[in-house]
Amino acid sequence: MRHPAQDAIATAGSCPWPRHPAAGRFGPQRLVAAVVAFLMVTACASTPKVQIVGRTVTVEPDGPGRKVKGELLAVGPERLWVRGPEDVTEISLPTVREVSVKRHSWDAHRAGMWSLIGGLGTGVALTAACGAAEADNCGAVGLVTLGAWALLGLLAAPFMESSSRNELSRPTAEELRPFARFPQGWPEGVTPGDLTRPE
Amino acid sequence: MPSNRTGGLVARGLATVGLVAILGGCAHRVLSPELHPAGEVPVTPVDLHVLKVHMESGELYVLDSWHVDDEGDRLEGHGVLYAIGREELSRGPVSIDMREVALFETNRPETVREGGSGLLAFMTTVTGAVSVYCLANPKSCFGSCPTFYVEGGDPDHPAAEGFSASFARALESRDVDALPGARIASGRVVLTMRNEALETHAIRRVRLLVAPRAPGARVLAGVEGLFYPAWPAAPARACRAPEGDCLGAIAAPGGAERYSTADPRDLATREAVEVDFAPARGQLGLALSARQTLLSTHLFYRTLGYFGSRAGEHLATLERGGPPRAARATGMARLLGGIAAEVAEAGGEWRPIGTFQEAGPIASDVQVLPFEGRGHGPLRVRLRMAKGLWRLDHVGLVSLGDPVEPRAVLPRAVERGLRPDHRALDLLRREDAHLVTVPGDAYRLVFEVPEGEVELFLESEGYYYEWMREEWLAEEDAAMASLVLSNPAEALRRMAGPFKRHEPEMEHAFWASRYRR
Repeated sequence: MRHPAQDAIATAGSCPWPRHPAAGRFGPQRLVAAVVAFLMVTACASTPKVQIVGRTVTVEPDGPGRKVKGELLAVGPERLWVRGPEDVTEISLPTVREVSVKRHSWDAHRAGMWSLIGGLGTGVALTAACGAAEADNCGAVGLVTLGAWALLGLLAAPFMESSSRNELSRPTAEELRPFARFPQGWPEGVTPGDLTRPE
Repeated sequence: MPSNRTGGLVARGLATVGLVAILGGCAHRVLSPELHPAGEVPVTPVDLHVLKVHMESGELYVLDSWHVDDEGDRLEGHGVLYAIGREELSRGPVSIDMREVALFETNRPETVREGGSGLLAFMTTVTGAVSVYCLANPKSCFGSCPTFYVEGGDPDHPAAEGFSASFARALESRDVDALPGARIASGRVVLTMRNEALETHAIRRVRLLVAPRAPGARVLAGVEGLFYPAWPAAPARACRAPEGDCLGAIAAPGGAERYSTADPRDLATREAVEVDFAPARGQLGLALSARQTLLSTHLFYRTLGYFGSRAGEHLATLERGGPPRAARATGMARLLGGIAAEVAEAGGEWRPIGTFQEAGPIASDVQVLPFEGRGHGPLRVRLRMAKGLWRLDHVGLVSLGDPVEPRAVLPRAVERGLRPDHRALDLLRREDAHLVTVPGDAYRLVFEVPEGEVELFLESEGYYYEWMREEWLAEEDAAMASLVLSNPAEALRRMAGPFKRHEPEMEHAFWASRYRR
């Protein structure tokens, strides 16, 4: 038998909806929409800027020689110059098997970093939210979130790495010149040594 | 179930975001350089309005505007000059001797599409949005009050909420919910009872009510505690609400819901929905399927916030005072009320047939309001309710048989963490004690029910205590708390504004962000 008072409160007490701590200030859906828009814009729709230096290239030689990675400075008929962190390397063009030219910075490394940051950020956030609402097992929330991010990062990395580079097999000087800092070749009076110091 | 529909909408929205992100929203923009001889100034920019001028000296101009002078020996324009080390040397108007130019470079923007960044963008969008929402609303993500899930049914949405209105021992009550989704398999019905909220639940009893059902009939619970065999009598022919035609929303169960928004000045403002049926006579019933919007829960938690640090003290006072005191504390709920139904035949007068009442926004409940049909003409039904408080799933006319007596079935076994819990079983089978649960607890209740034509209902009895949250203390407002108790009508007027600011997003945000362990 229900007491009249119980009928009276029947419309008052239903648990699932939380008292929003920010009630009266802003709505969660608007906040979520803003975050979504921000994430989509920053994560996807970056506008490219014209580079004033040469493109980053990775030069793979024929045979057992080491790969050289750095900024493509100049390209001559038979040679190319790559500026690494320490010095400028001069490479004989006919010995080059492949040159990989960087097109954008969203490569596998960035995919990994993004996944790590995303996994930690949202994992910690969801664990904290869980902790505010529940008593136990919130650690699993963070682990599952981190795991999902790791899995997706692993899936995404090969695709992103592949699209971040333009691979030129046995490239000619003409194919490489547009990506160099000095596409016209070495300016008169300028030597590779002039460009070895950090800029 | 309405929640399924809303959840489906949310899932479709997220899937759309993901699809857009994967298929095109996250394409990379890259620049493809093109070289031009020194004598061929690119007059028309190639997509990107920038011209790189490589000088014989190794210096570089990046121009955002340019033109060749009348003599054709100088390039005039505006831009930046960089040294061979690419340090910026100057910025502004430039005049370049064409004889010193080695070559020109333009850059054509291109789009590179691949699925990897789309996947990450999708993940970022979804987990970012869910995290932000869950941080703002922990409880809506991680819990809800006494909930029951049917084994073999939708694991994400509870089939019933138990005694949601009983937020203090003085308000302990029995609650009956239809379980249309429950199936008997191998003579058993299995329910999982969860405490998914920051609450302490005290459960006196959980039983299945098994009502015999004639072929082609349903058994519906009446508001007065009786159970009626019911056969479809006549479909609704028209539905009129303040916003217009509502027949599509209420004609069939499980479809769209009819709901409205609350009044911006007074949450107790009423509205009426009228439904027309063909003439019918005999023992009839108005079958209503509905759930509450989130208005009532918003008011409940806001009220707790007003009491703030003194909430425990007030709750203790309410307990000491018993139901009379509780009645005073729940004046706002009395003003909001249920769905009051009236019928009229032909041009006759309206006569009340009862009030639909069910607490909670999660699961719709079905109840029948019996009345005698005289067959004098078209039957009109008028439903009067607080504006913005109810989601009507179905309004139907049924013929009722004589009430049937359902058989009460106690749990045969209770398991917790895959192990039998004999103590919990004993507490649920006794009527003089409570099984107390805390957040995170889940019990699997096994009922033995013979196969056959039956209708199942869940009967739960108990009460719960809400745990106070630190953030609620910031909302403490003694004046509003006093107003809620002394003048609930005025309180409903003052709380209309804050509620309206959140009303549009509440339902979707609630289901969008829900997280189940």
